[in-house]
Parts: sequence; structure tokens; C-alpha cells
Amino acid sequence: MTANVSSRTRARTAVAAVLAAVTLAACGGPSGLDDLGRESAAVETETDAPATSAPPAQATCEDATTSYDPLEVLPEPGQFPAGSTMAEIYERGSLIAGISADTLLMGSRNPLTGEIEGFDVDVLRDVSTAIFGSPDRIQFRVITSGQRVGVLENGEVDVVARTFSMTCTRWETIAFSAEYYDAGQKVLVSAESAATGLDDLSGQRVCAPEGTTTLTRLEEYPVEVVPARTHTACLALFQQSQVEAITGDDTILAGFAAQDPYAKVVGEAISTEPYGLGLQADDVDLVQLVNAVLAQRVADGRWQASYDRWLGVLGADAVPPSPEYGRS
Amino acid sequence: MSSTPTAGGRTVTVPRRPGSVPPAPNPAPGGARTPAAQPSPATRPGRAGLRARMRRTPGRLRIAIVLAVLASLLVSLAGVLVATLTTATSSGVVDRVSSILELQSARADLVAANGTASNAFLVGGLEPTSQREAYDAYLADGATRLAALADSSVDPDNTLGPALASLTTYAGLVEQARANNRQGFPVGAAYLDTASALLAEQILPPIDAAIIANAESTATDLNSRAGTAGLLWIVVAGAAVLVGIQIWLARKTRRTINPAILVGTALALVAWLACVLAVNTSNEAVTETREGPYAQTLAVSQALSLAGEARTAESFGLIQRGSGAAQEETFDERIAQAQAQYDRPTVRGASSASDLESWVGGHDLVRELDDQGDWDGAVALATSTEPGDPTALYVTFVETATAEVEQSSAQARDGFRSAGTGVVVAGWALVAAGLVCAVLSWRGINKRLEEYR
Repeated sequence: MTANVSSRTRARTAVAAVLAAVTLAACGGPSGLDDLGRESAAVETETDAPATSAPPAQATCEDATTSYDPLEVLPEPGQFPAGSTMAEIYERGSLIAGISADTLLMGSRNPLTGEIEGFDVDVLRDVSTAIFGSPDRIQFRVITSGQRVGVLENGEVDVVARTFSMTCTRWETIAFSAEYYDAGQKVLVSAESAATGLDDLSGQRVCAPEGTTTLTRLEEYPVEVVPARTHTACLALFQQSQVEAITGDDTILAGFAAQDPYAKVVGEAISTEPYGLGLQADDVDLVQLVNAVLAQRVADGRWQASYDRWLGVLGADAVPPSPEYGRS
Repeated sequence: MSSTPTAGGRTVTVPRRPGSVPPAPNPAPGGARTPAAQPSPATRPGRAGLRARMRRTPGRLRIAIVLAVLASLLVSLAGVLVATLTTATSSGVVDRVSSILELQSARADLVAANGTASNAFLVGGLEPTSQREAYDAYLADGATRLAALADSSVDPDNTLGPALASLTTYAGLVEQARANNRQGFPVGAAYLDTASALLAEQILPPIDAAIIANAESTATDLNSRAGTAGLLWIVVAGAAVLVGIQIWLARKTRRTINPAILVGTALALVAWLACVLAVNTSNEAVTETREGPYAQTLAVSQALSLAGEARTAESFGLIQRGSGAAQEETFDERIAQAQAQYDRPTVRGASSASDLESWVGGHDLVRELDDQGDWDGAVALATSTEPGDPTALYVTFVETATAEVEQSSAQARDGFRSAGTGVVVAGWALVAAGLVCAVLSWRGINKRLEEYR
């Protein structure tokens, strides 16, 4: 009896299997994306959109280059008032600085030594010496031009030394040291070009980095504006003939010309670009210390030595800018 | 047969000859015929005669022969379809598995080349010879694979051709980056950045699209193979016709069973049953392979490629010295995608998963150093080739994952190939059964027909 039931059950199971197999026709199944374990939305390869910030609107004022009064006497390294910004940095053990690592002459990584070096970096080393007694207590954060204001507003860095023009708009959210270099916006073209300025480049492609005053000013000329993530990316585009010219501060363009013998910097500066160190808006005490350091390095010849080493190609007759103080 | 009166008042029965013409109908009253009612000499008597013949038993037996043979041939046709479709889909699936693997390998090679170039950039102007050689080997392998795939059925829309052209540009940009870096020019980093963006935006997406397209085609083939069983309904229909003929014959003749048709029908049904069972077994084997070695091949090969992208992000994070947060997001995203592949329920026992974890642990140490401001220490750790350091852990992961992909892909191909063998044999058996059934049906009914001659 049990055997009969069992054989009947087996028979039914077999019949069910046959029916199931026969009725499987045209049933759907897993898709290729299911086999790959992907969602359809994840198929598209994401491309990182460049972190751009809109070029700053050009507010006008009379005191863009006016900074806070310098400390009358520089304290000894480590001897800072309790609660001051310098004491906090000293306790931390390093000065966090936003810099460029690819702007030859101003701030770039030497591939042979691995060191970050340049005119901007020399200023930071002197600030480090004033706080720690050593020029090497700097924690570098490589940033793009467009990130300069943001990293200060967010408190990610103590100071920015990255060919940073002092403007009224930027003063609204951050602070600047006194001016330490007076640059000017020029144009870099091919060595065989007859152009002598932006006016001669009508309708041609001219590159400038995103989020800079350079880009904003370029829009006033009848050229095809090509933005790039960094200034050095402009040089790569220039060498690939994707742009006919690059505009930027003469300091930056001098570094480009040094990397490319088939490029030249032409014309008179179409603007003045007063460089200052960017600092957090509330760190007035640190600004005052930095201003004292800047004044000292002019007085003892360090400014001139640094200029001669890095920017001598721009001319031997350069003089340090006269600092303006009195901001309150 | 018909009865005819004789002169003696008896009637005798004479057999009616097959195909005899029935008496002509009486003419219409008045003897006149309308032109429309008058049959054409060639067709009317022929059609009417045919209809009349078909109404008689011999005529119907002839129709039964035709129907039985057609039903038997239908059984054979189902067998041909099952066998050829199974052969074609098996071959197509095996080929596509190989294609997907080649696409994944090409992608992984190119990503590894980019990661190696980026990592070498960290060392300084003079890159280590071993890294240069590794970059060249990865790029050559990736380009060779891509070139072979671009000229094949893997890429019907020819999207890999432009990707291959962009790869030439990519290699040129990396060379410019290398040349500038060797001279100490920072513009080298911009070229490397441009090359990486080109890879991410113009070379990898077409490869990804081709991978998905081939995976979809494979899935369609595998799903349609499950539907092969539907073709076997044709056999059921053919058998039903044969059974119907058998019943009709039993009613028309004194014999309840026509042995020849019975044997033919039984043969067809046995072959059908064998086919159904073979298809069922095949479907189970396909599902097992699809959820086993095939799933593992796809998962581990994708994890390998994603890890390569993550390593490139690590190098760019260090190149951007202290500002690598965006790159770290990319690293985390790629690693999460790779781990999700290992976490799929169908992926079991992949030892490369733990190797991936070990390398991610090494990466965390690199980031920790960089985040603490020790960039030099972070770079030294990231570029060190000492055992236990991140680079060595990454190499271990790549070697383990590559071996696993090779093993599981071979199993997947064997599994898909062998899963169809039984169905093909059963399909051809069905063809033979149908042909035998056709012969037997013809002979079986023809015997009855001969009784009328």
C-alpha cells in the first residue's frame, strides 16, 4: 500500500515536472544588468564635474589693498598670547596652507626633489619660521584657484598663498595680509604669433582658470573664452593647439614660458593684481603677525632674494609694493 | 457498393469502383440550363468528382494518410527546431561569455595602466623601470584586446573603434606627462589629469556599454533557451492528430487498433518525453551555471576593474596633496561597488574578497598619513613594494582575482556548453521518431486502403 502511494506520488511529481518544463515557454528571466549585478542608473559612467565656483563679481572699493596694522614687535616663536590664533596653530604643530603645486615659480612641486617651492612658498616658510622657529612646519593642501576662498571660509586651512589677488568682494568673507607682490594680467601666445595683446586675439580661443578675476576680466574682450580647471591645464590645452592664447598674471605666465620655449608673454599688463596671503576673516591677530613678517622680510632683503631666485625673468628692477595698513 | 435489379426480380450487389462517377442530376424543368448553372467542361466535373471521392471511405483514408504523415513530420520539425536552436544558443552564450570576459579584461588592463602611470608620477621625475614596464604591458594588452574586440560581432555599433582612437590620444598624453615630469615641468601633472579624464569619459564608457550589451544578449539567449520547451507543444499537437486518426480508423474499420500508427505515436511520445526531461535537466544546469560560475566571473572581473579605478583615485588623491577629498570619495564609491559585487548572494567563496579588504586597510593607512600632514610618509607607503605594504597587497588581490576569474569563466563556458548536449541528442531522437512515425502511419493506413482495391 505504502509502495503504491509512493509510486503514485513519484508519478505525480514526474508529471508535474514535465508540465512545468513544457509550460516554461516564453517565460521571462533575469536581464543582463541583473547578471552583472548593476542597477540601470549605475550603468552610466560618472564623470566628475569640475568643482567650479562662479568668478567673483567685481565689487569696487578704495581699500582692497588695505590690511590690518602689523604687530609692532614679533613675539618669539611659541610665545603667543593664550587663546590667540598663533597659539592654537603652535599647539597643533603645523601651519595648514593652501597652495598650488603646479604653478612654476610661484608654487610647484619639484618632481626631482618632491619639494613644493616658489615665490609664494617662500612667504609661507617665513611665516612658519615666525610661529615655530622652523620654515618646515607647514602642512600643504594643494588647491585650485576656484577653491581659494572656500577653504578659508570653511576653516580648512589657516592661510592661502596661491597668486591670490586682493579684491573688495573677497574681503567680504575672508581677510588678506598686506600686499606682498604687485602682478599684472598679460597674455601668453605662440612664439611666432604677431599678437601683442588681447585686442589682437579677436575671435580666437583664450584660456583662463575657472573662479578667477582673470576669467571675469577676459569676458570684456571679443575673444572665445575657454575655462580650465587650473592655469596649468590651460598650458596643456595651449600645447595641444586647443587654445591660441592664455591670459593670466605675469608671474604665472613667466612660469609657463619657462616650461615651453615656443611660447612668449606679450603686451602691457591690462590690470594690476595685488597679491596678498588669504586668511580667515576672524583671524585678525594672525593677519597682524603675517604683516609684521612681510615687513621684516622686505626690510632684511629676503623679499628681494626670493624675487631674484624665482621671478628675475620678469625684470631686475622690481621693487616690493608699499604695504597699506589701517583696516579696522 | 450499390444494388441493381435483375430481370428475375432479384437484386445483386456489385462493388462500386472507387472513383466511379455518380449519375448526372436531372436536368432542370423545361430542359433549359442557365449559363451560370452550366459547369465548365474542365473544372466542374473534376471538383465535383474530387468532392465525391473524398466523401467515400478510400478517399478519406487517403486524407488520413496525408494528415498522419504531416503530423509525424511536424514532430520531426519540432525536433529539428529544438536541436538547432539549442546548439545555436549554446554556441552563442559560450562565445558571449568569452567576449564579456575579454571586454572586462581590456577595461581592467586600461584602468591598471592608468593607475600605474599615476602611481609612478608620485615617485618623481624618474619613474621606476618596473613601473614603466608594467604600464607598457597593461596598455599593450588593453589595446590589443580592444582592437580585436572592435573588429568583431561584440561591437556591432562600432563604438569601440572611436574608443581605440581615443586610446592612442591617451597614450600620447601620458607620454607628454612623462616627458614634462622628467624635465621637472609641473605641466606634466596637467597632462596626466587630462589623460585620466579622457580615459574616464571617452574610453571606458563604450567598453561598459559593450559589456552591458553582450550581457543582455547572453541573458536573452539564456532566457529563450528556457522557452525551448514551448516548441514541444508542437509534438503534443502532432500526437493528438495521430490519436484522432487512430480513433477514426477504429470507428470506420473493424479493427480497434492500428498497430503501426500506435507504435509510431508511442515512439513520438517517448521521444517527446525524453526531450521534455532533457530540456528540464538542461534548464536546471543552465540556472546552476548562471547563478554559479557565470555570476562569479562577472562579479570578480568587475571588482577587479573597480579596484583599479580606486587605486588611480588614491594616486590622484596624493598628487593633489592634502586636497584629495574628492578623490577619496571616488575611492570609497568604487570600493563599495566592488564589495557589493562580492556580497551578491550568487557569489560564494571568492577569496579575493578578503584580499580586497586587506588592500583597503593599507589604503586607509596611506590616507591617515596624508590627512595628518605627513605627505612624504603617505607617498612612501603608497609606492613601497615591500611585502605587506599597500602596493604588495594590491598586487596580491589582482593575482588572486585574476586566477579566480580564469577558473570560474572556464567553468561557466563548460557549464553552458554541456547543458545543451542532452537536449540536442533528444531533439535529433525526436526527428528520427517523427520520420519513423510517418512511415509507420503511411503503412498502417495504406493497409486499410488496399482492402478497397
